[in-house]
Amino acid sequence: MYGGEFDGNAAFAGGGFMPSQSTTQGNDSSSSLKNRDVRTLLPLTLKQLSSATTNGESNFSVDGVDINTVAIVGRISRMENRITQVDFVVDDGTGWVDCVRWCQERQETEEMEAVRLGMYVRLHGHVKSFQGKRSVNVFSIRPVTDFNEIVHHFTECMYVHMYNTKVQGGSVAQGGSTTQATATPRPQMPYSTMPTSAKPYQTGPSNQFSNQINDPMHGVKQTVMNYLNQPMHLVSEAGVHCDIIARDLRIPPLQVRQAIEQLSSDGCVYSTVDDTCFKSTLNA
Amino acid sequence: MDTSSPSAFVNGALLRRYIGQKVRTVIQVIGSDTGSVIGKSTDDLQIVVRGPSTTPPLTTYLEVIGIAESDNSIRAETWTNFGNTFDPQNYNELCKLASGEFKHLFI
Repeated sequence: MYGGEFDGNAAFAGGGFMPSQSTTQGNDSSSSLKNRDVRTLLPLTLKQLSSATTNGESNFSVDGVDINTVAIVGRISRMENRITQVDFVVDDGTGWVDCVRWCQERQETEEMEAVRLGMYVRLHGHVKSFQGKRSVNVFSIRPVTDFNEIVHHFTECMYVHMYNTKVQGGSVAQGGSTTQATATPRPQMPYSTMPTSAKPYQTGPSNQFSNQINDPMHGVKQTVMNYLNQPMHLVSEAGVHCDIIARDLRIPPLQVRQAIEQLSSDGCVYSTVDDTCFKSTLNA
Repeated sequence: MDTSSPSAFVNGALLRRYIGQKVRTVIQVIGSDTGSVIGKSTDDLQIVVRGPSTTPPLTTYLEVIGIAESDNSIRAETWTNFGNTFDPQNYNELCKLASGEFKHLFI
């Protein structure tokens, strides 16, 4: 399960495109993950892929997230079968890209035989760059049979883009402790603006946060955390009184109290002057 | 890889913004003639599609990719049957987002 496997918790946590639940006990994952340990599956439009930034080698990134595997949905506009490999061009309406599918196993050949020129397909592959030209090395491809999938893919591209850009925008606003994009590990924020942690495609430091669907207080906790993570509250020494939190957020004080107790035992907030004033542990 | 000739996702109302440019849209087929198909866009406007003289059998929904000739007609280069179970409302919302807030992901 560790490192690159897709599992149910990740699906609930992020809508199905989160690749790895990189959770082990006591693992300070935020500081030790390198590019190769982060396996992402990004649905992209070809326009996004062509505007992906690169650090010169084969490391591409979009919206601050390193690209590992991409999912593309488009039409096959050219195809050449060379027995051991199939070269084809996929056009998704935003652009086109050269693709290669190596067919050495029987299963791979059969998979390619189901795909024909002019068909809409969904493919997964790795992005490669050679002499400045980008192409996709495809390892999974299948024809689209229900065309709602096309609408779904583009909607997902927009969602993922929004998720990644919002997460970064949110973290930068929170005290600016990290000044770069996602390459630098950021503090784990399980109750930040989006349902999972601030680091794209990495869930919280332990499994407890993935139980959000069973947690009735999750929404309130999230709201309280967003409130306490605002810059003005992060810098204030004394923190915020929980009645003020309740008044500002228009949540019953009892619920705020309950949320804060749970957040405090999770390590997300701490009491300052006395046990009525609280501060977020972000940047603490 | 090339992104120099994208086709914009349009519905009936957005078509006028891309006259002369390559567009793509899905219509619900109402009727067809030799060389043209009349359809209803995902936002209930009428669109005429001029295409090849032989029209193959069409399903309820048809995707058309081509050049927008006017605010209600398209000269098709490619068309694809999208079946009978396509959701036009989702597509309509996609068109609005792809021409609006998320235009930079598409064009």
